[in-house]
Amino acid sequence: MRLPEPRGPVSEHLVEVLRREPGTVPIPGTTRQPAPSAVHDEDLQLSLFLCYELHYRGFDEVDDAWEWQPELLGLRAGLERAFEVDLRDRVRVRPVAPDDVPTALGDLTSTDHGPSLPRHLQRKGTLGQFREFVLHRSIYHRKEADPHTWGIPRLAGRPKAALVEIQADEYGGGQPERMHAEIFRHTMQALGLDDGYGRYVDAVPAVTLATSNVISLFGLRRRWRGALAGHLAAIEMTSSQPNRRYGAGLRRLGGDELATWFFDEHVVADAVHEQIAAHDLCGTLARAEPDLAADIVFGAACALDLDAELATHLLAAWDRGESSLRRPFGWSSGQAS
Amino acid sequence: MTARHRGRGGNPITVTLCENGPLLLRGDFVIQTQDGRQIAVRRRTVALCRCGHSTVGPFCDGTHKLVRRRDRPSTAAGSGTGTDPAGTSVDTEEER
Repeated sequence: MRLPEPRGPVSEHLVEVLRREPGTVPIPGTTRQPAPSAVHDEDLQLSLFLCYELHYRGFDEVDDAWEWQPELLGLRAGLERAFEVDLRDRVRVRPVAPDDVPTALGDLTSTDHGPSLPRHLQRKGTLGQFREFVLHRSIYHRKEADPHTWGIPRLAGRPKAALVEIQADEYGGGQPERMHAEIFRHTMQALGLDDGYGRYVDAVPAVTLATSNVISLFGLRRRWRGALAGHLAAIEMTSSQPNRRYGAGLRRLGGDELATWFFDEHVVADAVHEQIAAHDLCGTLARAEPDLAADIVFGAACALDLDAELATHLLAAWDRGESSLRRPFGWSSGQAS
Repeated sequence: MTARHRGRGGNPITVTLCENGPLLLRGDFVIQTQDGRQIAVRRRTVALCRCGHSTVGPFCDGTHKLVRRRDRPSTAAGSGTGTDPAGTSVDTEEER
């Protein structure tokens, strides 16, 4: 993918230095004033996204050696601290006994955390709104499963086997055309969207980048392995029913079997994954490493909080009759909006 | 609770009873109708519905959680509101 357009002093500096030879340009630490909310800080979330993407597919213009460049890692750590402070402020979780982790996850995920985006898209959403929704989701879904896979080498025994079992299914069980990140391309194509990896980073706001960045934050740091497991569990446990609604919404708007495949697939797949994630992954991890119990619930709560924040953003923009994207977007010709 | 049976290929079939949830099937299993017609299984582990409300039966679609939620005794309204004689209910219009 190409480097995105900067959104402030930090991302501007990053986009500039990353084009050069690694290590030859010192990167200053973050001296900037933290914005009121890191989750909505465009410059911070884009800068984090830039740093994290070097660990996934990288950028066309950037030397791969930047990935482990110490000054860059130092800058990233500063951004992560601000993000973490905001998450800690937004998400309060009560202490939980290791044996109670699956129950706590069940309680957390059965509580409403925000407005119902699935209901809106199922019944009332326009084709243009559905397209925007898919565009926002493409930031994560085109790398779906990848951030959680970082957890595999950090676990052992039953929690590890559980995570592998879920991830193997996410990756299509050995069939590339069944990988969830690939299936999503059909939905994008049906809606007239470009299915290129990272194609729409410039179009989405900070909160959308935050929903992806938070998994990279948990995934790339071993100390956050509990939160990573909890994050995955929360996603899986709040997936089947919303995806059933998304699929129904897209069918209502004229989507065919290929267009709705992604959503239909998640209805069935995540009914399996949620059981494995809550009990075999998080439950056994909490018993094996009791100190991680609170982190597991924290990670789950972060997933739900950011998902709700994104849903709030989308519905509020649409309610005002506006686009939820950062700028007016030129759809390919012939597509309704 | 888990039941095990040796599958045809030597890979033990495991049936896991999820609390308030589906049956998880792993191993060399085959799912078929009563007249012997095989139902396509596209993943190694499947969740079979046991609440009877799934829209994608025989597989689970998570609807049991809605059933459970609506089945909780109401504190404000009268007893039994919103439940059918079997004690469970999913509002097909509102919830689905």
